[in-house]
Amino acid sequence: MSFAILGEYGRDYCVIDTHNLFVGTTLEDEILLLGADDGLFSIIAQECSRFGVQLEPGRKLSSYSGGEQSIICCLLLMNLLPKERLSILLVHVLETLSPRNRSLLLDRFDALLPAASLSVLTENGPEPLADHV
Amino acid sequence: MDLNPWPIMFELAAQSYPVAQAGLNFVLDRALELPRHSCLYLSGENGAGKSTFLEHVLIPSLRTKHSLLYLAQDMDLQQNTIRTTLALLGHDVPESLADMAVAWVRTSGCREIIILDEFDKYVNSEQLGALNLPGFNWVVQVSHLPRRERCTEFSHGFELTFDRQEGAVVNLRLTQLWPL
Repeated sequence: MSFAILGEYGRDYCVIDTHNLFVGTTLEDEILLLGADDGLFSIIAQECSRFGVQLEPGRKLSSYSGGEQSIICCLLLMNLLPKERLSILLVHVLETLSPRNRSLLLDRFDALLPAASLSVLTENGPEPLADHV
Repeated sequence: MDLNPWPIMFELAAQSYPVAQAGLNFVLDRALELPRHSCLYLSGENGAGKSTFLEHVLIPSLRTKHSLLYLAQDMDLQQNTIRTTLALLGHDVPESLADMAVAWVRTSGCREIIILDEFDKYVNSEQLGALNLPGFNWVVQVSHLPRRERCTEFSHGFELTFDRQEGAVVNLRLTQLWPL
């Protein structure tokens, strides 16, 4: 299912899908695979603490709850993606978050990727977040 | 005379429930005693332990007395089981996850307890309606979506709030939402 979504929308959007969040086993693996600096772990850990999520070095990503995984993945990408006019498609991401964390996550997208446009996948296809919320 | 073969109450004793593998200790200071045709919402911040509580405390306890259906938060593994079972039973296997879940609920025949862990994020209101939740004696739902009004068809509504303290303790607070 997740690969179908990626195949359908991957050309037009940077897809963040709750079914397909990570490739690596731990966040350190993920940072290594993405070719980022090791110091990114502590930056993401600091960001996560805003959401009440405590990152633990070496912990398997799959052992975090669904909502926590969504937060970690989004923060990772917010820190890695170019600060350009990207189109980002969130697939079942916001639905995994408490109202407080949903609002906080959107604030962080706005602060860290101000030029990016956010869309969510609805039954009618991608829709701009502003129209959906 | 009550001809329903299932227990009339959904119960969980007031006590501490340590879950060693998750490093959490759930403290329920008031017993869960929910009459038939009740809806129970589990609420709390991300990482508060709602899914852990479902999988390691509530479901193992309920399964000793009740028949239940569980639609998990992460359907990646579960959907393969559902797909295969539907095919083995000679049913059509729908393409979409939402339609597959409806087929699964209909096929199972279980009408006692259904547990939905953020499952509603996959379905629209019409598909959620097709699950026929009011046909169950109890519905347990973890959801961050504002769809609670749907379950007012149930005669009782309760909320179990998860408040994770510093460290491993998670305090559980039960509130009756309706009737008041």
